[in-house]
Amino acid sequence: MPRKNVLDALLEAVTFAEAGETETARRLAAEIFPEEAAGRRAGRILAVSGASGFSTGMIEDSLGMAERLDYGLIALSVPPALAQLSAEQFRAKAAERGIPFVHATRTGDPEVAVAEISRQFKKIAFLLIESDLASRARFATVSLPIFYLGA
Amino acid sequence: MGDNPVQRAKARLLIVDDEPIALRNLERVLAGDGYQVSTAPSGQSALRQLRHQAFDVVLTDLRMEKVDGLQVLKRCKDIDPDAEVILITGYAAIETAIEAMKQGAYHYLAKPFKLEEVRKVVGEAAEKVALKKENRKLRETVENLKDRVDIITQDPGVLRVLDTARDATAADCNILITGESGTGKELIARYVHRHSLRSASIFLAVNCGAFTEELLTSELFGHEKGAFTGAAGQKKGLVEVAHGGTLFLDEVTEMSPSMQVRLLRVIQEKEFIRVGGTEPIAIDVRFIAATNRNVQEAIEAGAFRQDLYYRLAVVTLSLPPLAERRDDIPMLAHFFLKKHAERMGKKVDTISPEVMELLSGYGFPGNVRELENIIERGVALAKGQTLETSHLPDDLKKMRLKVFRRGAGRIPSLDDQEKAYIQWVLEEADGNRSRAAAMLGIDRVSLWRKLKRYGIGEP
Repeated sequence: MPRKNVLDALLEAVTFAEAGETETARRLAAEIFPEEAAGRRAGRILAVSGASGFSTGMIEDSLGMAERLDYGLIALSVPPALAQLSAEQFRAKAAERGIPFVHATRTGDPEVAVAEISRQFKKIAFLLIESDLASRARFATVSLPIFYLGA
Repeated sequence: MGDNPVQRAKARLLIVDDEPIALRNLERVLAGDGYQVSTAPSGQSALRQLRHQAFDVVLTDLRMEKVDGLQVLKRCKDIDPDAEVILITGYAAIETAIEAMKQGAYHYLAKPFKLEEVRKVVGEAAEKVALKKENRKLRETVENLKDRVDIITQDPGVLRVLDTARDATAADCNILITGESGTGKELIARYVHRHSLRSASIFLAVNCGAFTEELLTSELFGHEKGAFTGAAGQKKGLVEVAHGGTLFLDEVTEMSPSMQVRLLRVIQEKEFIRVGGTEPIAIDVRFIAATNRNVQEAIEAGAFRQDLYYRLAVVTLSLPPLAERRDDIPMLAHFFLKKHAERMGKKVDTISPEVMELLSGYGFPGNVRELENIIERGVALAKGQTLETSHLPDDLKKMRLKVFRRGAGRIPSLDDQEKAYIQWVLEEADGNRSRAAAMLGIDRVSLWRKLKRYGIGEP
């Protein structure tokens, strides 16, 4: 988010907080500081894109799970070039539902990227990966439960 | 369930009709289907039998002399509200039959009826009765278990964990609990505390992954007045407050290396110094730590100290994911149903077989916490007595979620992968084995061998 927009959004959040509308203030703050907001949740889901980005099923299911578990979401795009558009949709839908959302992009080997992200971010409860990735990856160094979405 | 021969053999039927030929025909057909059938040639005879014997389903003619079908219905419901009554009626009495339905009859069959129709309705009624009894039994089991233990389970693996936990309570040693998120690690920690000699003292829990290093230091060890900017007064840390009791450190592998060194020192020396302080403070605390990560891998990767691991993992308790204790799902589902129905003041007390089937087949990445949330949401949406599939989240109904790997760090074997793949293809083929074999590119015999080998589709 550009610095001026961040300042505007912060002032808006402060205004709502001062008016006693803490939920709105919290939601706005979560948009400005998604990483901190996701960290305050009970846990996080690491959603990993496939070659074509994030599928509708992935977006719907991971948001549904995050909502009922009170989790935040980390969306990892591998490779990012193809995934950018769907990641924006993902972010917009997460914001609609008030779910803290962080988007990370990594190039290169998805195995290395997933291992790095799962070490870097705290409180990841499980991974949700696209089915095309499930058919070509092993994630041998990731010691977290991994699920994928079938057809 | 209605087509299940075992279910039919268990269902007890009473057929009431004052027309001997119709009575014999129904008896022959339904007994042939495997039901335990009794007959009554009149309403009076039916009432006598109802006094002495319990029936699941009563199939009664509506128009009979002296005691009619409505009186049989009323008596049957008085004796056993779970039993279902089906009325047989001529065209002229359909209005009465509809009135009877309002009084609790399950269904009515208009004469002349087809035998297939009778079979279908009786099967459905028997299924409903079986469901009500199953739900009642589960509710009773939950009630009994709730009085005896803190944790709802009949799973041998979890019961073994509880046994070990009980043994560890007396030893007063530190404990490491491992398991996926939502498996109940804090519940087990509280269970250990409640059954320990420290139960009269405090239990405190802290999530090590929820704080920055500075905040966690302050939370755990407290600080002296003026220790840093904003430290307006002295603050006791959780380690100090937990003196005499138990401190639960959740997500302990998320601690930074320097925090791990501090914690190790506290455990070894049984004393600590507040931030900004100079005097060591002696403490007597039992530490119970938990993690959803593979600790051995974290040690090998240099992310977790081995010496701290040995200090914490005097006893290790490993909780299985909910999907590996599927037999507990119906009982837990009923436990949460009761809990949230009472809290919301709702009458919902039954879970439909379709819901139970979906729950039993779901992977539960969020484990027991997720099951509770699903049931809580369902109770909030339910309008009647039964939790139906329409009350479940959409993503769960679509059943898209598949397990890639569950055990921490374990690579799935070729057999695991093949079994999972065959199950998925079978689902895609709606259970049609010929189509599944074609999709897999193998012949039916090879598929049959694989299904037998992996125990897929066996009861």
